Amino acid sequence: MSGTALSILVLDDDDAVRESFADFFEDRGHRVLQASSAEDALVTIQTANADAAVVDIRLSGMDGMDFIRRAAMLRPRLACVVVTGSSAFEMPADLAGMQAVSPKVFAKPVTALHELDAELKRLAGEIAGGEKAE
Amino acid sequence: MKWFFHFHSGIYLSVPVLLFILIPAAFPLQHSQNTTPPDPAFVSMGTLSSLYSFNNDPSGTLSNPDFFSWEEVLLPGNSFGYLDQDRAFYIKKNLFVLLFLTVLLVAGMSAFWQRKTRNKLRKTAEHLKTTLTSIGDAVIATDSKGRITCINPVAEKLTGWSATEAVGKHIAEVFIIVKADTREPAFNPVARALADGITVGLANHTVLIAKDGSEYQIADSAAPIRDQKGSVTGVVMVFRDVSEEYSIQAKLRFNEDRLRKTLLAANDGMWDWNLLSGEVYFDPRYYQMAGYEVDEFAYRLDEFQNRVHPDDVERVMENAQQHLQGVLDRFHVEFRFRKKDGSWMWILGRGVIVERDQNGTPLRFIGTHTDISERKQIELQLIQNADFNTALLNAIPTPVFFKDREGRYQGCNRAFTEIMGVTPEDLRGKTVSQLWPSEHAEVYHKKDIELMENPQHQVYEFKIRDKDGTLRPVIYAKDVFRDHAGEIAGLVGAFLDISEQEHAKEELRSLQNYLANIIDSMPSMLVGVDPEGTITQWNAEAQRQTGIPVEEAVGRPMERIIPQFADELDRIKSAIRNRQMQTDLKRRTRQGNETRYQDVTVYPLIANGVEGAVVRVDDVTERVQLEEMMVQSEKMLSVGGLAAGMAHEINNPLGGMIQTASVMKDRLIDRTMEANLKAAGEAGISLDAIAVYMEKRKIIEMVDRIRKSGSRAAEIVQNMLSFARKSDSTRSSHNLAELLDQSVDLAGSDYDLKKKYDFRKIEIIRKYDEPLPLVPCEAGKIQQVFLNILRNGAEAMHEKKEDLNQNEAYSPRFSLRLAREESAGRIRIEIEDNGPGMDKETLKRVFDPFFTTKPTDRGTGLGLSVSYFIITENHGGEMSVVSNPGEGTTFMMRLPVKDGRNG
Repeated sequence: MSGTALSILVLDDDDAVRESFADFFEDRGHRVLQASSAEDALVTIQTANADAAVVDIRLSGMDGMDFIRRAAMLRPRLACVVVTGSSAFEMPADLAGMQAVSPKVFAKPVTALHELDAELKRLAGEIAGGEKAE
Repeated sequence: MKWFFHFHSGIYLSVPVLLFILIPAAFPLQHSQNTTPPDPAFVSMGTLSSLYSFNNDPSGTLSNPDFFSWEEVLLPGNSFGYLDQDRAFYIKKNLFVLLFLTVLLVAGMSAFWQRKTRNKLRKTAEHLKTTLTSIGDAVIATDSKGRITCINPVAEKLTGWSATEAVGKHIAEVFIIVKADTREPAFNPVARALADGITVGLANHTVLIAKDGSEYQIADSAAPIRDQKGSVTGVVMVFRDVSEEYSIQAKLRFNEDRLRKTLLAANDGMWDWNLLSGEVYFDPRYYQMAGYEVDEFAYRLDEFQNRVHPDDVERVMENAQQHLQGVLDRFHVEFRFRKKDGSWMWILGRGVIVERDQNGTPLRFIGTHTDISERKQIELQLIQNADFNTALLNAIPTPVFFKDREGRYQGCNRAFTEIMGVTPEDLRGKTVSQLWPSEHAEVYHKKDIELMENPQHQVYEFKIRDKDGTLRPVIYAKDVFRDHAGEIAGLVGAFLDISEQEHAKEELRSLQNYLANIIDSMPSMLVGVDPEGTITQWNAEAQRQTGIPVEEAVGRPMERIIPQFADELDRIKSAIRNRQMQTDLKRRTRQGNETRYQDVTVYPLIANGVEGAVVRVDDVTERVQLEEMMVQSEKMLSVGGLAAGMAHEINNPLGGMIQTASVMKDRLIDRTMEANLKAAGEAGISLDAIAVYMEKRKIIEMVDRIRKSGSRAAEIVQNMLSFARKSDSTRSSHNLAELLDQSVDLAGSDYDLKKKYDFRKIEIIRKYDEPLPLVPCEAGKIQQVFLNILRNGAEAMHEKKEDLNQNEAYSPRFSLRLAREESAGRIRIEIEDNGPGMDKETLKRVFDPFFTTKPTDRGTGLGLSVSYFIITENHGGEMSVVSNPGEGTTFMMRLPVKDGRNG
């Protein structure tokens, strides 16, 4: 098992899905922060350190994309991976251009959770590495 | 008495002189007939005596006949009969003179006889006798008792009595006379001369009957012979044969009568202007023809002038004056003359000078008046008609010309002059060959002759060369005209310039062609019909669709030519009646296995004078099919749309389920996970023991089953979403291999299919070229195509399997091939099954919409046609099928790598 433990924010309004992600990441040794709305998530990332975020798109209130835009201003180094149940989702251009946003979009249900874990680690490592290089 | 002696003393000289004068004078005709005019003195005297007798003659006309010949007056230009007119005058005058002198002579002789000596007397008597014998007149002398004493040879000849027979006989015995008209005995002048002692003048109309019975018209007279005492001692009678003279007079009377009647019949009046006296005689007819009583106005020139129309009188008198002056050889003038009732009559006045004195000064001017009112009226009418005709001809804008019988132009109208540039004067008398180019003239001439030979209205087309040299096509129309005798007198022709008509015709023709081309180029069947339903128009498409050529269709009843449209007749009639378009949309007809749809539109013809309608038939089968496809498509899309809406809601619970199951499995079997070890330690059990337990209770299997079921549910949703993912507006590049595989998966989850057999039992052989370029397409639609082909193939293979015996080995198989066709920039997709295949008949129609081999409760027959439509129409690709019965079927599709969408 890789020794890199991350602090991961799971943003999803479906409790079962959010809990399953949280359980999975905790089992993998990560610290998990949970939020069922984008508004809560924004508060969380300001009060607690988070390295990465799993972001659902369709949310009541602010949607996942706006969350990413705000989060990018508050915590530019937060690695974001989109997980959505919506079939019609296409990554908006402004988000696709962000280094902190994964080009890989995971569709619910996520049958290969380890791939999600790997992408989070890769992206977070990439961001951290870039920072060190500076 | 003294005078008497004096007379006697000169008688010897006088008698011969007198005789010399008298004898030729008494018989002028013998000497001067047809020679020179007589001495003007005689003419003058004759004229006066004639006028005298004329004026005193109670009959008014009878005593004037010897004046001149009327015929010669009426036939101007001849010389006048001076000799004839004067002949009678000479005779009369000379008779008087002769008689007078003879009486003197005889009286003288008688006295002399008594006085002179016998000898001398005898000598004288001889002399006298010779004279008497020589004299041209008959002389008979009697004694106082009437006995003949002397008879000269002329008298002998006329009476037929010789002197020896006659002398001593009583005069009544020898000289037998009767009245010419009554044949009654005429009074014997001798008797009267004896009885009354007077000279008895000439008696006219007396006929002497000679001894031998022959008769002579004679003029006789008798004078008493007195002695010295004055007693009547005898009578000397002189007579002469006037038969000739009489017959001339009779002839004159006849002529006179004839003249009178002629004038009467001719309605002519006569006037006679004495230029010396100024008196103008008007004859009765002159008065009557103008409605006046005879002699109602005086014989004066001013009476005539007053009755001539004021506008004409000057002209009339001028004409008369010119004749009198010798400028005109005759007086000839037409003028209006006032009738008694005040109205005007037209008169033709004619006349000539008939007498002049020796200086040539006119003395007498005679002529006639002819009533020409009727002729004048006709003449005026003719002038008006001629003027009218000229105006009419000139008013006509059509060129008109006329020719005589020989084909010589006689004239033309203004329009002719304007076009041909020749005036009536230019062409009058000329022939066509003198006027026009020979190649035209020949035809004109030929046609003229034809018309003359067959005088019926002639019409023909030819050409003219106008004044500018332009050749113009024309239509000629000609007719002959006839003279009063009904003989052809010439021809009248007209021509019409039809250049513009020809031009218009040409334009019309090209317009017709143009319209016909348009109509024939129309993709619709167009059938023109009249109100009775008879076909009037049949375009190329109608011919193509029905196979009936236009010649067979036009003019025949529509219901016979196209019986399938018989039920449209009511619609056609209604359209014509109401002048409203009528439509019958999506009319359904069955042609063999195939259902065809037609839109029938009936347009009433609303142009003036054209009754009927145009029936337009459009085959809209394809459109209807497309509409059906659209409906189908819409259905699918709505399924897709529904799936899209549902997908998120389903995916979340599926996520909760599957992901939780994954985490659960990790927690149950991962013996390295610290949280697991820690929890197991706290529970006092080892992970190994848990693993044994789970093994025994198949917990892990159950968790996996949960995950798989969830995953399958997720896949179904995913596939359903593929219908919706590509809306019409979006098209993106796809990997055909992925799409094909997804379609295979989808077919496997097809509930209808699975009910019968498991699609997953079909062997799938894939042969995909690597790498495959992405293809721009609507994935949902392409998948729909694949799915349809797979489903059909699967069903066919299933049927084949069911048809086979259990023993026979058969394993259904799909071969899926994807190949690059680089040169064409396409990818070829082949889906081959090993099913029963199709016969040629089916193969030909497999893409036809609604064509299906399946029972009606299954399948719409749209599937393959929609597929065909999607590949060819939506994606600009190609689709075909190859099959042989028993050998399976291969569908081949080609999709362009570049966007092949139209537009």
